[in-house]
Amino acid sequence: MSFIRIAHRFLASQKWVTALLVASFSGSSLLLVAVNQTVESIDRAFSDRVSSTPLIIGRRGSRFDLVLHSIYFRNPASQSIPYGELQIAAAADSGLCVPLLFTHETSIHHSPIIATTDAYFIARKLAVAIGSMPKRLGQCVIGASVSDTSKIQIGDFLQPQPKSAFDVTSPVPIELEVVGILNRTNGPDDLAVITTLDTGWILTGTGHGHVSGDDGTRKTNAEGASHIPESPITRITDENVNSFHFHGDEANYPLSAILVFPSNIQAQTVLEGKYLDDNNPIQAIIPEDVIQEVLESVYRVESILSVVSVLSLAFVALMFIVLTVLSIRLRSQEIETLHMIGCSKFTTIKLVGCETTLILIYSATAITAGYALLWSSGVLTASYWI
Amino acid sequence: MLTISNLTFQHDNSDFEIAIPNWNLDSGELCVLTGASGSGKTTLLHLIAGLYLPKAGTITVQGGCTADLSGQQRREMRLATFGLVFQDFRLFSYLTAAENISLPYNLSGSSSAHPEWIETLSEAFGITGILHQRAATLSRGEQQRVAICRALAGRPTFILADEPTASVDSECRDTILNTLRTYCEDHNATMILTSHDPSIRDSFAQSVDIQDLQHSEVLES
Repeated sequence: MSFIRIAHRFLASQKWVTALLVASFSGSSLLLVAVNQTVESIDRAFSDRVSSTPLIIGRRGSRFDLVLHSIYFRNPASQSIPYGELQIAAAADSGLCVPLLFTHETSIHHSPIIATTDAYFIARKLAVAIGSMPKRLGQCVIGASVSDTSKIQIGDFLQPQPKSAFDVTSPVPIELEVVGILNRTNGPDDLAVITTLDTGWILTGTGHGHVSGDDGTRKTNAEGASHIPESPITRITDENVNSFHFHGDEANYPLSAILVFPSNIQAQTVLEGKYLDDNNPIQAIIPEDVIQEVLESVYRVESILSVVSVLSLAFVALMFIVLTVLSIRLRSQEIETLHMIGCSKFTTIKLVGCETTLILIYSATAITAGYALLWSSGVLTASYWI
Repeated sequence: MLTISNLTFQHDNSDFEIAIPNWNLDSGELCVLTGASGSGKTTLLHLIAGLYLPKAGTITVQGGCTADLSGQQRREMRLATFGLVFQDFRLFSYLTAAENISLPYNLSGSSSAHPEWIETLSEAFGITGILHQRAATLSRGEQQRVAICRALAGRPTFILADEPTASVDSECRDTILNTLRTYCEDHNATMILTSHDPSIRDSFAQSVDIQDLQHSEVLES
């Protein structure tokens, strides 16, 4: 029977005190590690993604919401800007202008469906790992994480979530055919379904397809289509793709944001100036500035949590010392017995040392297990919080 | 084996004093030490074991004077020579009976406690069935027998047993006493046993009252 076994037996006999000590030690340490790791992850994610997106044009409102929507694909757009804004920006030789339309999520897993153009793939340096890029109406590519979590394969169809189940005039969502799986980027694109801008407009009801002779109800729906087919097509194929058509002026077709990659700082300044007027319903924002404001708040929270963690660790260490001293006092007869039956003082010290070491080992194990749990659940990653 | 000469001892902050002019015990001798509560029986056992040092006089065990030994030497002597049975058992409640029995030898890295010997002792004291139970779950009688087993686990040549049958019934008492006697005969071990029980006093050839010990000039077997 070794010292470790005796120490383990003693700790097991004091299981509640041991559990409290281990929980306190590991909880405080884990909080400290987790907060630092998460903030670092958020910082890195924000910095990488934001620094590669110089300017965003979108509907005036919360600047942070616009950044989250257009860069991190959080919350489908409730308001839109006209496609004409993209045409104006592009005509002004502002650089690479990328339209984004994010109005729907998939019905399973709620992956954001991003409608855009080839320019997005160029700007984000995205390429398919398997399959091909979406070319035809109704096709899409999926991010690596979408493929991993939902086990969707090329050739499968994705069902978009209807915007409102109670709006009878809302367009019937078409199914999206998966034609490719993107390379992993460790960013929001991994969680997205990306389709063509035309397909996005079909989803919003700006365009639709129907069988020949179906003139529908002739009733203007919420999205402005001049008639609503009685038998809309919900899956686009090579055979029916030509029946799809759009209504209205293209300049008024909806976009949720435009990502601008100006060719130079002068072009960026000119574009920013164009949207400075507070009465303009459209705004241009520099995401890096917005995120910097947010990060400052995050850093403040991190500082507070770090101080709390360090203080609680110090408190737990003090509690541990007090409990050890108390334990030695309460076990004075036990220690005296060891001495009486012929054990040295060093034996007692080794025994108490073993108990302390075991508590530290239990705590380290709990920290490792807790960290692994947090890591596997994704809580430590920026994508969980953003 | 044991020679006490002109021993005096007094606890700190106490008027109570033990004064034993002379007392000898040879190897293999068994002696029952009697006396009223608080008369100093336990203190005398602790003095012999080297847990206390005399104020004056000498206690010689196996030719060595305890006062001349260092703390570490006295500790090693206790481990190698003495088997101590405590009045309050002093078992470790969170360890099993088997772990309690082998504890001193395992912690000291000594190889004196062989598993076969512990098994023999367990059978002799009738505790084989409870060896894997935690001490806290044992009855007082079982705890007492485990404590005696622990004292004998290192094959001591000198047993100091403080009220070793106080918590057991008469049948168990006889078993314990017979086993201790047999052990002493087989190992030529000396034993001093304290007891209030007149029947125990009568069952041993030699018994001495601590009061008589303090007032006799020479008391030899």
